[in-house]
Amino acid sequence: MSDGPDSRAASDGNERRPTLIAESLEIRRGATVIVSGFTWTHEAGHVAWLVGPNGAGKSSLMRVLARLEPAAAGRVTHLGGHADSDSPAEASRRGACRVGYYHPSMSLPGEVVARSFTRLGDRLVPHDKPLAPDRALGRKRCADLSTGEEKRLLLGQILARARDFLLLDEPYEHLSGDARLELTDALTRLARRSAVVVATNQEVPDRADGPVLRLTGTGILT
Amino acid sequence: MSRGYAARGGRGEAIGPLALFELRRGAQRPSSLLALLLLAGTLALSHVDEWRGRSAGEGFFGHAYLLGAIAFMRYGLAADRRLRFDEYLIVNHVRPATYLSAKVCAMAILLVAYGAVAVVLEAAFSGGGFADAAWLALAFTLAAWMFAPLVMLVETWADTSLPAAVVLLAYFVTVITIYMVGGTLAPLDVLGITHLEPGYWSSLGPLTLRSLIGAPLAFLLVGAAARLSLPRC
Repeated sequence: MSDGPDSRAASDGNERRPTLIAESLEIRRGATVIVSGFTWTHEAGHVAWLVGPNGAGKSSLMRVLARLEPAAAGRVTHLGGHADSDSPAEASRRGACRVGYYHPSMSLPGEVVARSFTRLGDRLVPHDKPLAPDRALGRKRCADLSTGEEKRLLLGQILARARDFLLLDEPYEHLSGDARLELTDALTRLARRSAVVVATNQEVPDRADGPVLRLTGTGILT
Repeated sequence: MSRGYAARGGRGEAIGPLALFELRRGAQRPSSLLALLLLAGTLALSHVDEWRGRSAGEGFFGHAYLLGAIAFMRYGLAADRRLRFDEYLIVNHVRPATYLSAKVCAMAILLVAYGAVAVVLEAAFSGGGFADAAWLALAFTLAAWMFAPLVMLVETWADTSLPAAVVLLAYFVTVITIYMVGGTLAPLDVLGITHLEPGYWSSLGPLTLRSLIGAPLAFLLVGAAARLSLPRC
């Protein structure tokens, strides 16, 4: 935290709402420019939706917004929230984690029984469980879980932790109707204190609100 | 900027649960059962030979131990990469150092458990030579621990499910090549195994020293290299 708005917020000492700032982003896939000149600010309060067809660049943009990969040009700033007012150790003690990131290709090791994973989650993740794990999964090996059950377990552990920034890439994929509604409600609640961005190639759920960005493959329409 | 904090109580508290998870995972792998079967089967076969009057000596313990170790010694780094489970853990829950430390802890416990099983099996098949079995198992466990950082290094860069086989093969090729070219067994001296005398506990000293000091140092170096291949956070 050495320059830019992050350090200013830190020096203020006041916790402010987590805000995700993208400035003049350019993202390339090989030689192809998939996002160019993207400037955007998203503050906690509502879920932001990133909608577009396959190949439009949603996943690449999400990874850059999560700061897992650098942009070809421009920059992403994560401003405010726990980590600006706490040292990492203190934020850790409070159960805070700055970024949560999910991609549907994340999977569980098949040899592990589901209960081992939920126990790991119980020890790593304090407090509330927005997507409660299904205890009935019990001794099933993860390899024997349905894809939906597996994704729900993974998502549940990410959502259970206090986050300043939550970036979920296709979280609705493989979920049943009930689980989708549950997820939408959970995201709406979490967005009050976290900057939440959801990428989807489907339509935004009926019950959702918040800004929608449409990626067309040639640009972004807000 | 620091992200991806460890569990609620900090890094130290996160290693325990994750190591326990890795331990369960290691024990539940089909290859772990295969390792035990290979160990038991090879030991039993070697003693059948003894019962028929052909002395097999302790060489067969080594073969049995190595066969099993090749099957079970792995950290799951390659599998995690394939499943993006490393990214899931490191971005969302724990620091990279915690992730790697938990795997090393789990491997250490698995090696001790495997050694204990080897003692029981060897003692049972040899008709009660418990002290000799314990000496053999300790010697091979210490040697396996020396190779454990190299197994991690192989898994860091290669998508193989038998990283210990790669390490052993590379080691034997190195030993043989150096012996043929230079006429020296220096690679064996490096490990401290040229001083071993079966049944003499004091002869384990050089190997123990190297294992307890050398392996942790090697883990520090290999860990730094392994972190380069882990997701950024």
